[in-house]
Amino acid sequence: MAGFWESIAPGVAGAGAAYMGYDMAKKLGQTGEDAAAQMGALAGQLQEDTAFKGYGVTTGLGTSTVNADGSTNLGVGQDQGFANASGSMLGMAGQAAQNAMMDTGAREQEIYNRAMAMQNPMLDSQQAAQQANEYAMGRGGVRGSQFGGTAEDAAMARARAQASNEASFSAMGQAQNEMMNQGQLSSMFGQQAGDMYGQSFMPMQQQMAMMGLGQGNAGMAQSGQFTGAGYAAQLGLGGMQSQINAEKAATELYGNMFGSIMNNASDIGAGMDSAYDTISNQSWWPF
Amino acid sequence: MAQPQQNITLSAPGYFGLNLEDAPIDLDQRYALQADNAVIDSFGRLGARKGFASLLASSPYADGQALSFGRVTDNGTVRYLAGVYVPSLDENQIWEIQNLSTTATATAIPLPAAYTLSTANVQILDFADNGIIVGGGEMLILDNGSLNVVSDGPIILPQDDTGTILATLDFTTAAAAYGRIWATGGTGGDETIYYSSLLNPYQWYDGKAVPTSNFNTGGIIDVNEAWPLGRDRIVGIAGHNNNLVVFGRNSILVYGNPQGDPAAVGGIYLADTIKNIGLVDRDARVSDGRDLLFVDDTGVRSLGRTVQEQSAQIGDLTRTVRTQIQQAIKSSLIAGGVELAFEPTNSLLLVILRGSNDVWVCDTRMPMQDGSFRITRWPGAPIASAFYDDVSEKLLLGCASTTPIAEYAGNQDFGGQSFNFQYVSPVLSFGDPVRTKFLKQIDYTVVSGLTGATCEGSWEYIGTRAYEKTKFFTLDGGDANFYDTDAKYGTASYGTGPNVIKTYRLNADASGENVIVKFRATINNSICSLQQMNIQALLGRIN
Repeated sequence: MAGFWESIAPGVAGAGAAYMGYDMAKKLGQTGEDAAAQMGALAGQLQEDTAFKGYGVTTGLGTSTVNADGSTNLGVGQDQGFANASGSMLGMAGQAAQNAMMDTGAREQEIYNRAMAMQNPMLDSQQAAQQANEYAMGRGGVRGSQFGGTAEDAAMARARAQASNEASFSAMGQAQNEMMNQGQLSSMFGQQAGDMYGQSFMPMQQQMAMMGLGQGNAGMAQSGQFTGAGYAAQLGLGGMQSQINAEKAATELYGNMFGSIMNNASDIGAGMDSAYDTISNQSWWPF
Repeated sequence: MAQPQQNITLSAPGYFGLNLEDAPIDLDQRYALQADNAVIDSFGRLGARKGFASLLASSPYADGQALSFGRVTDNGTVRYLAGVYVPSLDENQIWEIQNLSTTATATAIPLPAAYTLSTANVQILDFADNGIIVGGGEMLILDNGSLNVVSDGPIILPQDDTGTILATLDFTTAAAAYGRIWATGGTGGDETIYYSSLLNPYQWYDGKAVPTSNFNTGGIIDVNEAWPLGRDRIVGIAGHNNNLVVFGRNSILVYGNPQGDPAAVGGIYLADTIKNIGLVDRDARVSDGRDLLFVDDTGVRSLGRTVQEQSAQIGDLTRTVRTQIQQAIKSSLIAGGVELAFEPTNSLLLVILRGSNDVWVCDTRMPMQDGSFRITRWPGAPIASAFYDDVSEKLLLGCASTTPIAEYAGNQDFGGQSFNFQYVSPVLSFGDPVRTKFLKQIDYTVVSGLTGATCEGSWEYIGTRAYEKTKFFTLDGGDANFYDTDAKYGTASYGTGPNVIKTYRLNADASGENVIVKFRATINNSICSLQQMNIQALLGRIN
């Protein structure tokens, strides 16, 4: 039969070993937790380190910014000069188009009036001469249904009517030409308005092109950032792995050590038992 | 020592008619200072006019007064129309006179509904197979015996592209000539002549760019700028000698070539203007077939026919009574107007002075050497209008009273009334105005059928010893086919039928430098002409 110590020692040793094992496991667990925490911190750090910081492009046209959330502010708008000119041109195009679509009657009348105003002095002179001649011939004051006035009056009236007709037809043609011109002008103005409107976006396009360059540069910056972060992560992970590995090795070492201890404790107990026995067997031993 | 008795014979006394203008002493003895109710008879003697016999056997209103006449052809039917004022109704009517050549009667033609004839002194025109009545308001047309307002027909009123120029055809004077009506006055003004289309009283000036009718040749003549005196008004229009004569009140316009379309090339033109002579009243003009006779302020004038000369000749036809007739015309224009009528059968031109009961009569057979007419006068003749019908050869007389319409016929006035025929010689000096004349005897040779009619023979000394004496004698017209050389009263008589030429001798007395001899007969159903006067006188000392 095993002695007391012998019996107890292994237990105590085992308890001690369990305690130590527990403590080691606890440490290892703590190490794992620490590693996890560190990894989290590392992840956070990495996330922070690798996060998109945004970038900006500054040109003579303006400053464009791409924020960390990706929101982009081009910082350059339409060229207002072109935009305004376009608007103005568009207005002119619209006016010209409106003119082109207007009834030509009023304009015809205007042209007709001007044409007749140019001819009237001559016609009036001719009519005055005709009337004077009519009165000289004793024909003044005579008006007949077939001619409105006299036949001579009718001839003069025909001349006037002919001039009037010619002026009228000329006015119609002229007015129509003017309307066509207005249409063409409208088209031209419209085209120019469109061109100018396009031109008004040129600064933005150029800024966007510059932003393309800026984007490349930002990419390069982020690549470096990613690389550094990778390195940092790898180092961090490596460090933690090393720690864990060391913890694991220590734990395993402790385990092995406690196993040995446990094994040795039985022997120690046996020795103690023996010692105890020896001692207990002593006189002095009170028990 | 007794002076030889001198004889002065006034053969055809008064044959030259009245002369109140020239110096009375030593005036041609064939003139007269007075020739009342006288005419120049067909034998060149001064004689009594015919009577005014009532024409109508029956009439709508006995108190009617015909103030205008006209003969129209209404769709082939000849109708005689009269504008009549009926005092009892205070109404103007248009009457138609039927059976003019036999027993004339008259009926009133109903006026259009709601139409009032403003005056009976209208113009009745014979135009395009219709009668046209102008001057009584809106122009009327007689169509198949019915009176209608012209503008109620298929009318084209004067118009142009500005609208209707003249909405109411209320002309006051017009002429139907050269196939058209030429009208003026009323709303259209009296300086504008509106002429109808050819033979169409419904179509007038159409100056629209697109005429309502392509056949319309009506038109307008504005004479405003043609007056030679700056401004005048048209009083009458007449066609004469292929001219359109436009009478102003103080000037005359003569338009040539009114034929065809006046407005066409070569159409109507102002050929002549005459100033300071015009027409006093619308109806104071008539044509005697040779000249266009008219009354201006100075008397009866003539617009002669001219073929070669451009200018129309103006005659002064009443030169011998110019001052007197001028005053009479002036008075008559105030009283009622002047009308001129021509009666070719007896060659009479009547200057009817309405309102004055005064008619001056021109004998148109043979004008005097100076172109003037021989003039007599019908004082007291109640004549307002006259019209000669060349079919019945009757001179119709519109009377201001007594009877609606009379005719110039018979030898009594209005069915039994006598009238006085009176002659006054010029101042006779027997060729020696300074010597005293002692009239001894006056012989009147009278042509008459009057029997028992009392005549008056008078002589009046003019000068320092004014004296007048009248003696009466009775005419003896004798019997039909009477011929006797042994006459009563120491007279010889000869003749045929009821008209006998007899000489009546009166003893005269007293003395004076110049003498006027008078004759007066009361005409009652017989003719009476003064054929000759012999005046015997002694010439005394020089005064």
